[in-house]
Amino acid sequence: MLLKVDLGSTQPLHEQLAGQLRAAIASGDPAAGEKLPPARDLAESLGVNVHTLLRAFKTLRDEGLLEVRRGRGTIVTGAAAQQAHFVDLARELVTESRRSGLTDDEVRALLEAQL
Amino acid sequence: MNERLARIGLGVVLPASAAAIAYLPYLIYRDDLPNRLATHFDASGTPDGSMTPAMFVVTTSVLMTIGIAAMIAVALTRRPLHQVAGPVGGAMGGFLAGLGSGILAITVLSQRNLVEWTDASSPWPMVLVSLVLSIAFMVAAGLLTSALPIRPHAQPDPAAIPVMALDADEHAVWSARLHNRWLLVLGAGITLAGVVYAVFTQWWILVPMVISGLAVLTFTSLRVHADGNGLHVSYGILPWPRTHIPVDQIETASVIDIRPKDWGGWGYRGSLKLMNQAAVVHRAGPGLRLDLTDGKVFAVTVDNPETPAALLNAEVARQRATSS
Repeated sequence: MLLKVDLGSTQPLHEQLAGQLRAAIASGDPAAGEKLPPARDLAESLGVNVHTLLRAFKTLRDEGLLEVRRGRGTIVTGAAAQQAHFVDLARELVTESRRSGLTDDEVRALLEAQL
Repeated sequence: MNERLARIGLGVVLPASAAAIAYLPYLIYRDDLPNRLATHFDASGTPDGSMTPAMFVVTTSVLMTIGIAAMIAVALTRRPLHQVAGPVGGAMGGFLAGLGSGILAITVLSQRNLVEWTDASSPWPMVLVSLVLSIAFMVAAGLLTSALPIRPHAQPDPAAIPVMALDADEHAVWSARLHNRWLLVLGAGITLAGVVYAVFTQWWILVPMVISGLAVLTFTSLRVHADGNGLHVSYGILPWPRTHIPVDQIETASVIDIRPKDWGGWGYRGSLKLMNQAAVVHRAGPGLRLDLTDGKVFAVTVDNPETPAALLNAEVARQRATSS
């Protein structure tokens, strides 16, 4: 698994990290069931605060990609790779539609119509 | 160490010391020895086999001569030594020379003044002393051999040296785990066999079996971690041993195909300190190769080695750019 952050970028670090993690999971490395390296080690290597990285972990946990087990560490969930792909598509939809001036309600309506 | 001194030490000093340890006690005390020497003992330490002193000198001399010949052969080799065979040959030569001379010397010293060989006392202190002596010879021969020139490694494949694009503000980390189920089965098998064998026969067999079983188990999982500080390898769940190669010691990182037979098998093969190369061989297949600034080579089997190789090369370039 490769993670990269750009300390000079305007995008918040935790968002960069969440994006990197999501992309890594979508590519299958780390695979479902695999344990992530200790957050402390990763944060130290990247030169970021460990809480910044844990915030990214939390985002992915809320998206159902990661599972945090007490005493066992952070594990990639069963359907994570597929899920990560849909999360990416959904983010893209939201970003693109906001850029073209759609309101959030209009985006919801658009999704509803497809369902 | 000076290469010439190392050759003299390995080819003359160690062989002469082994011969002196072996034959001086014999020459001094030959008239005080019984007609036969106790040379074999049962499990309780009672002698159950014997030889004439002359026969025993011949037997131990054969062992010692093989060792001395190996050390002299390494010392006389003018071409650079093979990376693995050279150091192993030198060290094993030292071990055999120490063992042969130690057994002869200790047997003579402990059995002089005996009337009958059956009066010989328990051999364990002698075994221990000969073992310590052989290990001392092995270490000395190994250190001397490590001062001799070693054949340089083939250059890394230039097509297999990727570099990652990293901006000044960008930081990257790469981490991977590797599991080997066969090693898990093997390690657990050895450990269990040791326990079972110990329960039904001699208890002491437990110690070597469990130690080797746990050593195998330690290698069943690897964590390899690359970042701006270099490469870290940790083994199993234990905090120690670990391998850390700092970025400023890396010349190039490249991708190789690791074949266990080229590196001497599976596990941690070689030694960066003594053999100028080391490899963590977990399976056959793709691996990461690091050529160090002092000419040594470290390799470790990982999946997708392109990524850590590219990352480390980028960090090496960055470090050079800032230091120059």
